[in-house]
Amino acid sequence: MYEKKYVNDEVTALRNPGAESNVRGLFSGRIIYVAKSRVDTDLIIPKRFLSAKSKEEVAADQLFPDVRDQKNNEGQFIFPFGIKAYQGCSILFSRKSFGCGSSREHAAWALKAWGIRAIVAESFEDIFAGNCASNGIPCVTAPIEIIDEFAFFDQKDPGQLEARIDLNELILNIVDIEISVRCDMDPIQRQMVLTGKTSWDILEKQNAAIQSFYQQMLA
Amino acid sequence: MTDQKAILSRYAERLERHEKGKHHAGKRSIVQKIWELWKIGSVDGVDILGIGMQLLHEVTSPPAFSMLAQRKLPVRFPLLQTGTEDHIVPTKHEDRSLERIKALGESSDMMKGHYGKAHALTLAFRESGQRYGIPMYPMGDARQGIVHVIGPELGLTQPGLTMVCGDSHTSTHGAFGALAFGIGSTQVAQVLAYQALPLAPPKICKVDFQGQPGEGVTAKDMILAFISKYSVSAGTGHFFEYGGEALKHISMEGRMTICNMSIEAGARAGLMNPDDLTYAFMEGRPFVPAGAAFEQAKTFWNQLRSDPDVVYDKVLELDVSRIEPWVTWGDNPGLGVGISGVVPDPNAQNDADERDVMQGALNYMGLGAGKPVQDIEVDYVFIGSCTNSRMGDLRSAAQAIRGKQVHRHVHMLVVPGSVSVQRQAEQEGLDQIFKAAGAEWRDAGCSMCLGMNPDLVPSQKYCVSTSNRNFQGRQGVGSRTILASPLTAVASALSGHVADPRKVL
Repeated sequence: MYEKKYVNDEVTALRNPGAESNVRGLFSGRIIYVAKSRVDTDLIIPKRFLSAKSKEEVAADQLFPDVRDQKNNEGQFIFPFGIKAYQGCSILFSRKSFGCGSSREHAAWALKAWGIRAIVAESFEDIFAGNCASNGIPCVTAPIEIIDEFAFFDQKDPGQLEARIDLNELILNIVDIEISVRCDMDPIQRQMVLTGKTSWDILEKQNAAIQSFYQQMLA
Repeated sequence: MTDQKAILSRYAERLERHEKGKHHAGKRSIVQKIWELWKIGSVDGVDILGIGMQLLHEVTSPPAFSMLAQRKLPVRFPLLQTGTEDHIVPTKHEDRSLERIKALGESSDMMKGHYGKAHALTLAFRESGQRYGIPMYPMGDARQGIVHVIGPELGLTQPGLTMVCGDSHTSTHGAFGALAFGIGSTQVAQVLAYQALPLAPPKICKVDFQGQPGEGVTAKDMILAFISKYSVSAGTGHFFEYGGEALKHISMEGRMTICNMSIEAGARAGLMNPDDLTYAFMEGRPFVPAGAAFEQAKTFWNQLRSDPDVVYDKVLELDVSRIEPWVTWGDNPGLGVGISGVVPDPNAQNDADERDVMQGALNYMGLGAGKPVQDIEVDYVFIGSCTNSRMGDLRSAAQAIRGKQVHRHVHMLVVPGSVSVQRQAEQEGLDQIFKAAGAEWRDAGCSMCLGMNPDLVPSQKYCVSTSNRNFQGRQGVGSRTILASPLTAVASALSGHVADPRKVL
C-alpha cells in the first residue's frame, strides 16, 4: 500500500477557499478522468485536425472526437468529454504514459481549448509534457493508487470531485475525499510555472550568449 | 552566411574548431559529447542548446510561423532550416498539384471534410518559406520527400549535429550520430527565432542488440521485438544509444529504421556511433564535405564516438538471434508477437492497467485471445513511411514479390520515401515488378502511415503496414494496423493473411 502523506497545515491552507487566489502554482477545479493507460496523441486529436494554420483554430470538439462513446468493461465512458456531468472540469486525471506518440502540440491546444488547466497521471511522455509546459498546463505525476482511489469515488459521483494542486509544496489534494499526497513534476517545467517565466523569456534572456555562439560557429 | 551548402559542408570543421582547447573530464557518451558541443549556456539547471539544423514540414510548421508573426520575430538563420512537403501531399501522380489538392478537398468528404484545409495549409507553408528565405523542397521538386528520408539523402544529416523537427520520428537521424529529436510547434517557433532551445540534459539508456539476426529477421523486426519486450515507455526521460553485435549485420537503412522507432519506445532520440558504414552512405551527398575535407571530417566524427566504459543511466538488451519476424496485434507499438505466435490473453497479464490496455486493443482490433496472428486476414498492405521507404526496403520487397501475385483480396500500396528513391527505384525497374504483381506504385510522401492525405485505410479493415504506429485511427478512422517489416508485408500481401516471410518467400 502507498503511504498517504497528510500534511495538515498545508492541507488546511489549501482547503481555505480564496486563500490561493493570485498565487502562482495553485490549480484547482473539478476532475475529469480518462481511465486508460498509454493514451496516445493520435487519440487525443486525430491527424485530420492537424490542418490548423494556427493554434487558435484548434477547438474543444476536436478533443478525443472518435472515442467519446467508448466504454470499458464496467460500462463507463473512458473519454467522457461529451458527458454532461464532466462539463466545466479543468483538471484531467489519467494513468500511465499519458501522451505517447506523435509530437503534435495540437494535443495540448485541444486539451486547453476544452478547458483543461492541469493534468495528473502516473507518468507522461516527454514531448507531450514539454508541449503542455509550452502552453502553461502542468503535467503532474502522482501514485497510481491515489488515482485508483479517486476513480472509485468518481464512479459514484461522476465529475464532481475537486482537486487542488499546489506546485509550490508539491501537494495534490482531492478535496471531497480528503486525500492529500505528495505529487511531482519536472523541476524545470515546475520552475517555469512558479516563476511565471516561459521558455521564450529564458531564450530572450540568453539572447546575447546565443548570438555570440553563432557568430563564432558560423564565422 | 553565403549559402546552405557552404555552411553544412563545413559544419564538421566549424565544430572541431569550436571544440579546440576545451577539456572534458571523465568518460563521455556520444550524446554527452554532442550536447556539450552545442551547449551555449546554463541557467538554473536548464541548458541552452544550439540547433544545427531544423527540418520543417507543412503540418507542424504553419502554427509555428503564426506564433512568430504574433511575436513579430524574424527567422534568425533561414539557412539552418530546410522545408519539404510530405504529410499532406497526395501520392497519386495525377493528384500532384495544388489545384488537385484543392479540388480533392472541395469535392470529397475525405477525412470527414478536413482535407479541405490541406490546400490553404500547404500555401501558408510555402509563403512562409519564401518570406523568410528558407530553402524549400515542395511537391514537384526533385529533392522532395519524407523529411526523415531526404535529410540523410541530401547530407543535411551529419554526425555531431543537433537536429530538430516538429515530428517525433526525427529520432531517425540519430542513425548518423546526430543528436536529433522531435519537438512541438512552440519549440519549432523558438528554433526559428533563436536557433536554440532551453532543455534539461537527458538521461542516457544503452540499448544493446546482441547476436546475429536469423533468416527473415530485419532491423524492423528487431526494434518491434524490443518495444514489445520493454513497452512504449521503456525510454521515457532518456535518449537511447544503440550498440551491440547485431548492428554489424544491418545496413545504414536498417539503422535508420531502428533509430526511427526510438520514440515508439518512449525515447525522444536514439543514436548510433558513426563508423565506416555511416561514412560510406554519406560520401558524395550534396551537403556533405568533399575530398580532403571529408577525410578531415571523418577524423572529427570518429572522436564523437562514445568513450569505452561509459556508465549509462540504464541498459536494456535484446538477443536478436532468438527472435522471429515480428508483428503487432494491438493498438500501440509495444503490443506485438513473433510471427508464429498467437494473440495473447489479457487475463494472463498481472498488471491491471496492461490488462485493460490489452483488452481495449482486442476490442478495437476485432481480435480474440489465442488466435494465431497468421490467421488474421489482410485487406491492405502498405510499404512506405519514414520507417521503411528507402532503397534497401524497396529492393528487398521487390526481390520478394518478383514474378508473384498479390492476393485478390488485398490492396497493396508501395510508396517511395522521396523523389530520389522513386527515380532510382524506377531506374532499377522496381516499379514494374510491383505493378506486375498487382501493387500500386505511387509518388513520394508519408502516404498511408498517418491518415492525413488521400491514402486511408477504411474502418475495420486490416492493414499490414511497414510504418511505425498502430494507434487507433492512425491510418484512418477505425483502421486496424499491423506493423511489420517489408518482407512480412510482402508475404502477407501474397497470402491474403498475415504470413511468415520465411515460409512464403
